[in-house]
Order: sequence, then structure tokens, then C-alpha cells
Amino acid sequence: MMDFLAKALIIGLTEQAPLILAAIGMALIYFLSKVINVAFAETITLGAYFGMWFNTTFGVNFYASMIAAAILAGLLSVATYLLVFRPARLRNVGMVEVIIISLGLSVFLRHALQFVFGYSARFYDVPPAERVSVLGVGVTTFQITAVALVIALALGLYFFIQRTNYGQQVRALASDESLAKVSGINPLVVTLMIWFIAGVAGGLAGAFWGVAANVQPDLGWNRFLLILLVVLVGGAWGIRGVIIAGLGTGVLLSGLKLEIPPLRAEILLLVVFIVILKLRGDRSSETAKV
Amino acid sequence: MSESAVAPPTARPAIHLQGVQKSFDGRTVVDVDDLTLGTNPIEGLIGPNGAGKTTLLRLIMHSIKLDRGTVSLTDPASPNGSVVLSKKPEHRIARLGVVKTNQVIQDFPNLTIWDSLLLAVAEARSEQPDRIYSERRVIEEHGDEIQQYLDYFTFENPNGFANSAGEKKLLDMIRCLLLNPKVLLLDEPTAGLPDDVTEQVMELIRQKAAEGMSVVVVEHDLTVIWGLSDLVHFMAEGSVILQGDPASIRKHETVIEKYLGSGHVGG
Amino acid sequence: MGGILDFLFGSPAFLIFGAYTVVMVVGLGLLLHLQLGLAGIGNFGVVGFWGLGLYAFGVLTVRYDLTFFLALLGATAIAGAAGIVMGWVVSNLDVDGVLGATLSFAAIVFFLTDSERDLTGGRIGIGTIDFPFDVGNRTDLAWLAILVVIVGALMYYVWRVHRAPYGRLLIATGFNEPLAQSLRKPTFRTKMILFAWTSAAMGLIGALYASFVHFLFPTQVTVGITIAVIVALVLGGQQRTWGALVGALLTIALFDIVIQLYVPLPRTVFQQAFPVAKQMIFGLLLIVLLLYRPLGILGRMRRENYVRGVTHE
Repeated sequence: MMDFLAKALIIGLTEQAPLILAAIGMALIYFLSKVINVAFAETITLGAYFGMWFNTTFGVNFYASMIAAAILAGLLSVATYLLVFRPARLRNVGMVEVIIISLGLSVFLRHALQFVFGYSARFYDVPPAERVSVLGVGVTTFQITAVALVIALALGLYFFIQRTNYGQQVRALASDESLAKVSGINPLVVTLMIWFIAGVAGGLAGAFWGVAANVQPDLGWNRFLLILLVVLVGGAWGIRGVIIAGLGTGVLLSGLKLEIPPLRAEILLLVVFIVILKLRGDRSSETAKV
Repeated sequence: MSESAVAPPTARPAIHLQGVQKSFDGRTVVDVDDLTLGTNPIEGLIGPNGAGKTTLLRLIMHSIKLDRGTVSLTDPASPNGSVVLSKKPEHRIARLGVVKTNQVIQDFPNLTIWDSLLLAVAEARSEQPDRIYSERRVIEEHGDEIQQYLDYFTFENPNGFANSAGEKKLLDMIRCLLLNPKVLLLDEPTAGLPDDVTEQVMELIRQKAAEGMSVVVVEHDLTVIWGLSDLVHFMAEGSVILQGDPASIRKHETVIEKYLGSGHVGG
Repeated sequence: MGGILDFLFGSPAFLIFGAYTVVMVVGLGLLLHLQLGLAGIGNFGVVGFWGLGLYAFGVLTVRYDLTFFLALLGATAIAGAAGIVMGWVVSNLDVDGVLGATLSFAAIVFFLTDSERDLTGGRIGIGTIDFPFDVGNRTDLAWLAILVVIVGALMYYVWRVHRAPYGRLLIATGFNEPLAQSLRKPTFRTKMILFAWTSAAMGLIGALYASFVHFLFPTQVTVGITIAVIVALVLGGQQRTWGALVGALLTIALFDIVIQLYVPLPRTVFQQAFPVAKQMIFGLLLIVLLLYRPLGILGRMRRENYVRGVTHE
């Protein structure tokens, strides 16, 4: 039993470290700007593409292209904020409509990229990753790097948000914007920072997913639902909650797949999520207006 | 905790709050041990900002949950005796005969004045998915009643939308009146209204109370309170600390100190 | 004149297919208009209910040999049952919860078409589902006519709902639910029941599509349908009865029929670049529309034109 659990934990963590990275990125946007950004899936996808492009065009190794991917994805994220989400905020667009807008952006990006990178799957040009054995489970060095990055990002974010001046501004802005503005915090600078970091996290996730399999237009979109559910479920407890939810989801999914057919495992996971969402209830307005 | 003798009221629909508590972020906003509202035709509820008056009304309407205690409704005319409101879902409260207007303007975007009022009066059986021809019937049954209210008050465009905060406030009240409630809770019904309309509202309230409706009025405009109320409750820091007829409440030192002293209208 | 006859009687099959898609999206759009435009339920899982009806009909017909009407009834009932459950789930959730739950439901339906391959044939697909009658080589045209009648009736129903107390109740629920509750409206129950019967209707439309396409594959049950419906509804006007119709004509009719028929582009372009460019434009449309004209081409509801009081008799 312990062996099974340990195995599931290792498999879950290493296979789903990118999921946790992606969930952290999406959660940062969700907490600060209060939007579900469906097009974050394309930030992830384009992270994979940027990395692949750097890798195949300049012949650099994965880790160098990963950094390039992260930075470009971060910039893309900032661009989407300035071009789409900020105007939506300024025009007081309703919540459902913002989601539909982000869905439109997702569709747009997912298809526009095909005119740049082609319609079919592309591949990273890297030597097959070395495998190491951790407690009897074979993991690649890329996966270990991903896990290390998750830990680094999680710790980094914790210190940033809880212990630094800027982090305090982020917290203030997230909880009460008008008050934060009055205290002299510049919402635009803080927001751009967070969207950039979110993009970096998403781009990294995309790069890892891309190098593990292939890079195709649906890379992020196929995983979007899972990321969304991790954010919604774990979001009640902040970044920590998202990490735990991501970890839990990864472990649960991997554990289930060891026992039952993979498709049914996915279905079961989704059913569990629907139940949790129902239990989560209505988080929108805790204050009555009537 | 009466401060003066009030004439014993006839049996009317009344709301009882027992052991009711509500806190927000650790701060107690309402703490009412034993309060009965509605035994007199018109009762006033006054107090400084933040005293918890609106929260109290919301607890009665169950639009926010009580931390502790119960709220119940008694109606001597009803065979059911006492009904515990705090156990019912929000939409049942109005069905049981308790309605409330809103301090902050609440309205339905896209619905016209007639829409708003027809919505209030329409019975559930007319609002079923298969009853797509029942609008005519609703208008036949309730149109005249609605028209009376529209004639009583002046709306700039009665066949269109309410175009000012004042008109929306009036709509809020008419919607509640059309439900023929047993208990009517009014949260600052005349705030922002011109004097002549305020007079009309007061007259309407007196008439409804005389017909048997129990009315509770929260107001900062104290001329309205002194002019209407048979009994006044003074609330501060979450509890009702004084009750009495308008004359004695008005002169009470605690009231003056905590409330009237700050230069209030009609003080 | 000759062109019309050509269109009606000698036209290529894909013209009929294009027209069928337009009418089908209008039907789904009308139902989404009730859910989202009136009652405020952000249902992103339209394809789930449609697909459930589609595949349920296929399975009941092919695996269980049910007659057409029994299979149709069964498929509609199954979609309706899912609608009751999902309606109960979403009717007291916030916007994010509804998004997550409805997207999950659609994904579950998609996975089921592959995971239960004993029933559904998995990726190989399921078929053949024939038309229940045969009027020669234009039976598909007859089927289109049947769909037009059904969607036409649905459109009349929606038009009447706007003028009925039920429509007003839906709008009150969607635009200020707490206020409606304080006026004794049972908003949770209203939303749940609405979701249930509109889901059943979506399933019915899906079931009819099964007979039209004769073969079912899991790739038919993907989010593209949901997006097409949302784009059409938002473009035309989500608050208006005619919104879905206007939007579907301007998106699907324009792209799938007019451009493909009359714009001379090389074949290879149509196979690869065109569908991708089409989606790109749809995505861009959604963004631009909702930023600058969120109520679509037809704009806001104009209830002042048809809400009548006593004096207007």
C-alpha cells in the first residue's frame, strides 16, 4: 500500500509538475484580475512553440530555449492584458462576457499560430532525456527540472508576495482595488508584473509539455479544463491551495490510471471536480444587496 | 424596555426575533435578544449609521444567514400560528407575507415599469414554461390595481422605464405593496424623494397600516418617523436599546447623545 | 429564377448540409439565448447535451435496434435527465463554477464516446443510422425541411416567451436574482427546470442530426459546436429572439455556404487554410464584438415596444 502510494506520488508529481506550474500562472491572474482567462491555454501552447522555435532555429539546448520560451510567453501574457483584458475592464464588461472574450482570444490565437508555425505537430530537437530511477519509478531529467522549477517558483512567489514591498502591493490590489489606489499603489505596474510572471509560469509549463511529447496547436487547450479545475478547487486557499490541488489532481489522476482504463480515470476525475464545484458553491458575492 | 406607556395594540401580524446574532469579520453587527416588531400599525426603527438596522431587516428577510437565533412570524388571522422564517429559503419569505424595500436602489435592468409591477403580481401558475399566452389574464386580473398606483404617483413615462432614482424607489415600494404583505419592512423609503412625494408615501403607509398591514419603517428623515410611528425602536451598535412612543424617544438623553446631537433632520 | 430551382432541387449535397448546420445552430442558439441571454446561466457545455442526444440516439438505434421514435424519445430523455442533474448543479453556482461544471460535462460526454466503445464504437464510430423514411435521393432535403419546421416552432415559442410572464420571470432571475427572490420568485427551481428542458431540446436536435449524418464519430462532439453557437448568438444579439438567426446567417451561412460556393479559391486552400482562417475570424469577432458592442447587432431588449398595460388594450 505504501509502495503504491509512493509510486503514485512520484508519478503524479513528475508527470504533472507542468500542470502545477500552469495552475499557478492561471491562478495569479485569477486572484489579481478576477478573470478566468481561457486564452491562458494559448500562452502555454505558445510557450511550447517559442521554445521549440528557439531550439530548432538556433540549435540551443532545451534549458536555454526554455528560458527564451518563458520570457516570450510572459511578454505575450502582458500583451493580451493590455490589448484585451484591460480594455474589457475599463468598459465594465460583465463576467460571463469576459470569459467569452477570453474564449474568443483563445480560438484566435490557437488558429493564428498555425499560419506561423504550420498546421501539423512540431518537435523539439533534443537528445532523448536521460532517465533516473526514483524509488523504482523512471523519471526523465526534464521532469526533475520541472519539479525543481515548481518548487522554486512556489517558494519564490511565497517570498515575493508575503515578504516584499511589491508583494504587499499585490495583496492590497487583489483585496481592495480602490483602497489600494488611494494608498498610492499603481495598479497598472503591479498588474503587468503579475501577468508577466503568470505568462512565464505558463510558458515553462508549455515548454515541458512540448518537449515531453510534441508541440501542436491544441497543446494548452487540451489541458485547459484540468488547469481550470485545479485553480477553482484550490483557489479558496490561495497559491498554496492551488499547488496542493494540482499535486492532488496529479496524484489522483496517475493513481487512477494505474487501476482503471485512462479514459474512465479522466471521466471519474471530472465527476469528482463537478462534485467539488457544487460543494464550493457560490463565491461571488458574500455580501447581500437585497 | 419601554420608556413610556403605549396603548395595548390589537392582535396584528408580528415578527419575533429571539437570540439573533450576526457578525461580519469578527465584528458583531446585530445582537438582538428579544424583539417583537409589528404589534403596532406603524413602527419606526432609528439609529446612527452602522447600528445594524439594514442588517436586521436582511436577517428577517433571510437574505443573509443568521449566526444564531430565530426569526418567526405570527399572524393571528392565520391558522398556522407561528412560522419560523429563519428556516425558510429566501423566496418563501415573501410568500409567507413579509416583504422589504431596499435602501440601496434595486431594480431590474431591461424591465419596464409595467414589467416590474406585473412581475410582482403574477402568480406562479402564470409563470410556467408552457403558459405562453397567460399575459392577458395577468393584466385582466391585476391591471386595474397597478394602474391605481401609477395614477397615485406621477411617473414621467409610465409606459416605459423608471428614469430616476426616485421613481425606482417608488417602484420598489409598489412592488412590495402589490404582494399584499402582512408585514412591510421599509428601508429608507423616502430618501431622495421630493417633499410632496414623501407626503404621498406617508399617506399611503398610513392607509395600508389602517387596513391591517404591520409596517416597520427605517428612516434617517425623522419628520417621517415622528409623523408616522406609533412606536419607535432606537438601535445602536447592533441592539435595540430603547423603545417608546415618538414623543418620549425624541426627548431621551441617550438618543440625543448618540444620534440626534449630530444635527439630524427633524431632530 | 433558375438559380432558386437549382438551389432547391439540383443543388449539391453540401449546400443542404450547410443549410442544415445553419438551422441547427439557430436552434441551439435559441435555447442558449433562453439560458444565457435571459436567465443568466453561462452554459459552456452546449455540445455536451447535443452530443449526448446524438450518441444516445445512435446507440439506441444501432445497438438496441429501437425504432426511430423510441430512440428519439430515449435520446431526448437521456439528455433531459443530464439536464436535470446539471441544472441542479449549476443553478446556485457563480459564473466560474458554471463554467467549470458545464465544460467538465461536455468533456465527460466526449470521453464517454471513446471510453464506452463497446456501445459507441469508440474512434471507429457508430453507424449506419438511416433516415426513418425514404423519398428518393433528396431525403436529406426533406429532413432539412423537418428541422426547419421544428426550429421555426421553437423560434415562435421564444418570441411568445418574451411576451409572457415566464419570459419576465427568466429575465428577472437573470438580471437581479436576489431581488426576484425577495418578490417570492423561486429562482433556483426556475433555472433548474429551464436548464432541464432546454437540455432535452438540445438532445433532440442532436438526435435528429444523427439520422442526417448517418455515421457518428467522437470528433463531432467537440467544443467547436459550442463556439459556433456562442459566436452566432453573441454576434446577432444574445438578448434578442432573432439574435441566433442573424448571427448564424452571418457566420455559418456566410462562411460555410456563400464563400465556399462563390469565392474562387484553390481546393487546397479550402481544405486547410480556410477552416483555420474561419476560426481565427470567429475568435476575433467575439473579442471585438464583446468589447465594443456586447449586445450584438440587434442590441438590447426593447420591451417598451411590447409590454402593454391596461391602457394599451
